[in-house]
Amino acid sequence: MDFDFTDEELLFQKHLREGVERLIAPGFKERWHYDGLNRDLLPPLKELGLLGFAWPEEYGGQGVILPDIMHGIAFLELGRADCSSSIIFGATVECAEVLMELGTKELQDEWGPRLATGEAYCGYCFVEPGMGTDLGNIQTRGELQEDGSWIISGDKASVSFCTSDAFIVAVRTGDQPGAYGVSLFFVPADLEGVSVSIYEDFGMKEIGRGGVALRNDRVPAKYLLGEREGGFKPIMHIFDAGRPALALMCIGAAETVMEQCVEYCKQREVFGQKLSKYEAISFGLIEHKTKLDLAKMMAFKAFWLRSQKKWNAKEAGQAKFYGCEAAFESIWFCTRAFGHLGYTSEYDALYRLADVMGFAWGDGSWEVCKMVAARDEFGEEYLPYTRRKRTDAVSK
Amino acid sequence: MEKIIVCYKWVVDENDISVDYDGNIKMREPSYKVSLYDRNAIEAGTQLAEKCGAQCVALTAGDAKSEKSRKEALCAGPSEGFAVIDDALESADSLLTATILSAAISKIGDAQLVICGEGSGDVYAQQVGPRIAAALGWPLLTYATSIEVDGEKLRIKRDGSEGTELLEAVLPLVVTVAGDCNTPRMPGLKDVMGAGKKPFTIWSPSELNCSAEELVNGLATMEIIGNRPDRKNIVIKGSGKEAADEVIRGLISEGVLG
Repeated sequence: MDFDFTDEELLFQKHLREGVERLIAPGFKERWHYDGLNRDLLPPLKELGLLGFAWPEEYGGQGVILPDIMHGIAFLELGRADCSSSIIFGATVECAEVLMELGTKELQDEWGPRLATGEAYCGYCFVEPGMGTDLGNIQTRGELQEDGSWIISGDKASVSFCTSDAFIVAVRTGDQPGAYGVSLFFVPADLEGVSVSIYEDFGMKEIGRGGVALRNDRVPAKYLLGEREGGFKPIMHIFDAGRPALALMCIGAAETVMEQCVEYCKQREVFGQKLSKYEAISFGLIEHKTKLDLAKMMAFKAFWLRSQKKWNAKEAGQAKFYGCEAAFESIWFCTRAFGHLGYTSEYDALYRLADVMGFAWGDGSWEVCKMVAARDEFGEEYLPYTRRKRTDAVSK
Repeated sequence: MEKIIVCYKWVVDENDISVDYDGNIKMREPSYKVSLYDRNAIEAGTQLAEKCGAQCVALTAGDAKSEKSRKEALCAGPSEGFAVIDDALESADSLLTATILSAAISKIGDAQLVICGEGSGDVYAQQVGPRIAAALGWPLLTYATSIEVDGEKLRIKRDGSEGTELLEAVLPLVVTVAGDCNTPRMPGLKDVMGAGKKPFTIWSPSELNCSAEELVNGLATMEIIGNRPDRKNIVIKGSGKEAADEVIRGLISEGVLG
């Protein structure tokens, strides 16, 4: 057993931490109030060498796939500075991998050069109103036209990056039950029939969550991603990397607040001695640090399993619900240790708390993550629903 | 210009150093890194090599721990690395380090320019660059904030309290660079993954014809203690102009304001 990163992973982390402190950390609180996808974060992400993964060099990309463990490291390090930067980075990787694996050559040639360099941005639309994490219940419909194009109609909710230039959209295109009937499409935001509304979130405002309405959008055949009705697996593949990544991002934010808190408690004096001398503080801090360390190991184990091409849905779910919750509780403890200052805008604890809270549901609520983990650990009897079976009929 | 050699030292990461109440240095399983100003030297050498079509080569000397510097140094730009490794070099003083490095520079051969950081991140004696120049018998330009090559000449800028000096010398020569000479690049994933594939040669001092007698420090370190300044904890009570005047008087008496 080896708990160490490789030399290359350590180097990647070392340079990233330095670069993130220089390029992303300054201005966190000022940026925090931004509404909509904050594209000002794209040039620093590019300077950090974090854009263009999975895209070939001919498109201006890096021509390499980001290794799984480094994917986790990047989320952790960016999360230490600004959770939004983690998510903005993460979606570039996920979209690139989906578009390069499933996109037509025509689509790749058309959008690759802009997406690879950060000139354009692609988000994804999976969730719908009244549906939450139940992705098998997608109602947005796609109807195949005689000329091969698709007419798509429906509403998407809680869409991150809703002011993107394009979206990867999950659409029901046939009569197959649940997840089996879902296809993926690439939909440019300027297509006729697409409209967007931004939510007023209490955190993570730089990723601009909102709703996307699709009203009889005519999507050309070249924008169908992969096989018709083969869209659910790629979505799950994204989540199996996204869940431990989000955990690491939240853990990064919590580490930053804890480091500030540890220094504060060494200086702050109450009732004649430093706060750090009180066990209510020192025990609390070390208990939360322990949970963060455990969560970090779980998240990297999920990434390691993925790097070994092993099933990791359980560990990804465990990492998400345990890591995000540990981060939330840790930041909340530190906020209280700061006293009233923690409740003011002078300190950034509450900003980060609000950011981390958003991941009680983002990319699968804690409860869904527990459901997935319980299913894998204890068996399908622990699912609250019966899995729907694929029918033999081919959708037309 | 065919070859530029950049020298670096593998030092304890200062973030892993703390000072206890008694002034003792505390380092528990410290991590190591390429010394701060040496990263500027590597960046300067890499930029010049890119501009002149030359080869940039990294060089270090130290004990066995320095072998671990290989990937960190090479991912920053140099196409090849060399290290002189011997336990006797664990805490080598500036003269011993410069003696070893200059012997290695001669063995590598074909170098017209040697670039060092202005001082190391741990000892900061600022002597290795000048002593290499003395050992090689080459001219020396120090504390460069920018470097420009013009044929067989090299020009540097040096910023000081009196203004900026422009200095010029003919190659081959040794240059030391200041911390504000450049911003070392962020190595990309390909740089990091490719660093281990670049050639890296390890020599012992004997391969440089350095005898055991030469591997002796002229300086002995008696003790290293941390500086933990006592806070004066001056509290100024009151408010408004009266308190502000008191703050200003305090700052003047402390020499902060003139």
